[in-house]
Amino acid sequence: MNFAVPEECNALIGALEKLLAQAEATAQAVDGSRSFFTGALDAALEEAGFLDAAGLEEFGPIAAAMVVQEISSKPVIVEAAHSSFVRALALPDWPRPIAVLTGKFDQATRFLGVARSVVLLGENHARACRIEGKDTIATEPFFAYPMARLADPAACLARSEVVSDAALVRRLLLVATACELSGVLKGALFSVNEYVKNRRQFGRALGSFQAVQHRLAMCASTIAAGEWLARRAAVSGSMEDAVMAAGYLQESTSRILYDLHQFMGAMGLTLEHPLYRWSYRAKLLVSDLGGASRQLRDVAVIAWPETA
Amino acid sequence: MDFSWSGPQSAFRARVVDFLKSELPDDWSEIARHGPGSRQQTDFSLRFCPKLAEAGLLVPHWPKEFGGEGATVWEHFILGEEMWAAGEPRGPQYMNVNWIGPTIMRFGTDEQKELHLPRAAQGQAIWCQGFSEPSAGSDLVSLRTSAERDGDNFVINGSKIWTSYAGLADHCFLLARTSGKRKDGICIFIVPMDTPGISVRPIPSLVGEGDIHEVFFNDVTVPASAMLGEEGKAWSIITYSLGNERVGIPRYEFSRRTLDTLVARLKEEDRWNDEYIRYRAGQALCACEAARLLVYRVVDERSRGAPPSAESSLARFAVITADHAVSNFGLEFLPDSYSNDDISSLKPHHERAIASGIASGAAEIQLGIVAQSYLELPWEPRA
Repeated sequence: MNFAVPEECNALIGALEKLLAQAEATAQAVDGSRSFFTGALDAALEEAGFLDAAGLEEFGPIAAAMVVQEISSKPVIVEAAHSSFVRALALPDWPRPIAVLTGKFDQATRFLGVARSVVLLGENHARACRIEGKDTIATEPFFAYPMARLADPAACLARSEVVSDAALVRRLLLVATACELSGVLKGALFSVNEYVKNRRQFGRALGSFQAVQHRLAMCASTIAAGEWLARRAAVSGSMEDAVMAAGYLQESTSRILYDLHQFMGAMGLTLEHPLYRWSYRAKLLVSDLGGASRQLRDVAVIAWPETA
Repeated sequence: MDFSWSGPQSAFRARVVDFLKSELPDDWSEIARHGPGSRQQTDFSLRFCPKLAEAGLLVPHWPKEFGGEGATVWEHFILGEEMWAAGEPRGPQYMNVNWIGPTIMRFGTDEQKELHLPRAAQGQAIWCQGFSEPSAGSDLVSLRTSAERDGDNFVINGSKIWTSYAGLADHCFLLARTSGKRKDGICIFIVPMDTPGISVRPIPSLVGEGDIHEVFFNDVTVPASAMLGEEGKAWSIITYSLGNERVGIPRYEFSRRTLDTLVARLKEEDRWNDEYIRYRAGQALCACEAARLLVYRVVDERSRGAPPSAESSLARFAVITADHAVSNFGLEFLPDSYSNDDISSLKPHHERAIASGIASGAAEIQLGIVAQSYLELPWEPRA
């Protein structure tokens, strides 16, 4: 057992923090858009190689987990999770951003409108297809991510090629989701935490009320556990750890979001405050890959197999 | 970063498991049905712990000069995991090895070390912890039990409540007030429980027989040499002690093994195909593993010599959540096994689960520490 962050990872995260701070300083004012994509930052992250860490010997999956968690904790929206795990470890030669589709490949999915590759995850194989001009149709924004669907899923499937075993890609996607969701929830928690420290009602800071403190502390315990479950899943390569991390975080999300929006009050309903940039990503991530109900059933079957 | 056990750590665990296999008697599960403070478990611990000591597995983490092997922080924790997984056959003696002994080692006089550490290291000491009072539970600083100087002695008056193991303990790790100054007026005394003036009343409870008591101190005279540490400096010692205690108990391991037992019974009853039961089992399993990782993080920090932090309260809350998740799972899907008592670990687990958010610093106190020290939220103004 060794929970110490390796020196190389600390250096990588230090450099990433600088890039994210720069992006935050030069970010355009909020324009009231419900969904958006921080394209310049996405390109800068790719160019600097932050999203390739998992496949590099000196960094590996733990660095990728920390990169995704760090980026996701900021009020920016870039395609970091799929690239950091699925692309870096299963299809390194494919262009990014990466979008992922499952089922009949006909649903709207995040980043598809800005993606250069789409992964089509089937029962046995993961296939990939390069995105061309009129392949995608943007959908009405509901979640904070840019969302689109394929104009012709069958045509895309016909052009696609098998890139990996489905089980590997599914595991990497679960880890990616867990890392992103833990970062998103942490960013949202600390955003609300800052608000309740400063917002005064009844003559005192909201954050001085025990009712507020204890529920935020419960959120903090859950999010910290999720963060470490996600890191363990990234490092161990175990399917049990991956479904557990994703399932635990997906299961916890609705309770955490309820509290965070409750304490932000009406301000959390606006597009001026960035809370929605985390909460409306989390609301989509809870359904990834079957959501908590599938992950929790799966982890039970792995932990206690029929034959045991 | 590495989430797996090293070779020496795995070998140490195997050593503990082998010992438990060979030394736990066939009737242990029957004995374990009684509370950890019961006559049965206490007597058992006085037979079992000396064997553990002989095998070098009672206080392996203590320094060699005090009977230990200088084992690592992780090995100490592995020992705790396996003991808890087996239903904690050390009974009340887990306190001696986890925090009372180390506290005496660090703050005690040579005489106190000589008197108390060998007996604890040989598995022959039963202690109780005299902290809570009728008017000072979570708000420990409000304690009123007094210790008045009388020449070379102190005379103690007052009462303690919720005191685990007091009925059979031979010593009490007692907090008493020598002055009215809040934290700075509190001292620690090591008090033999057979000192005249001490009386103990068991409190019938939901958490197992012989587990909680009231202890009354009526003109109890102890020598000044019974004081542990300097007068008025007890608060830092208590903080050190509680830091060791709060994550010193790997309760999640007992919960995890109890969950295994529950699932095995559901399989026997041909109910494991129920998707909802699987979902709920997955929930409880995740809660156990979430607690495990947060506790491991604290242990890892301790192994590097980092000072105690609010991380231990984050972990404690997760442990409480796991205890309740497993207990609730069992109660929902196998209630008859609680009524019929046909799975030996269920009632002991349930009894510990309902106490886990109360004992060793209530859950809400842990959340307060997280709010103030981890989230840095402002203090609620005093009324």
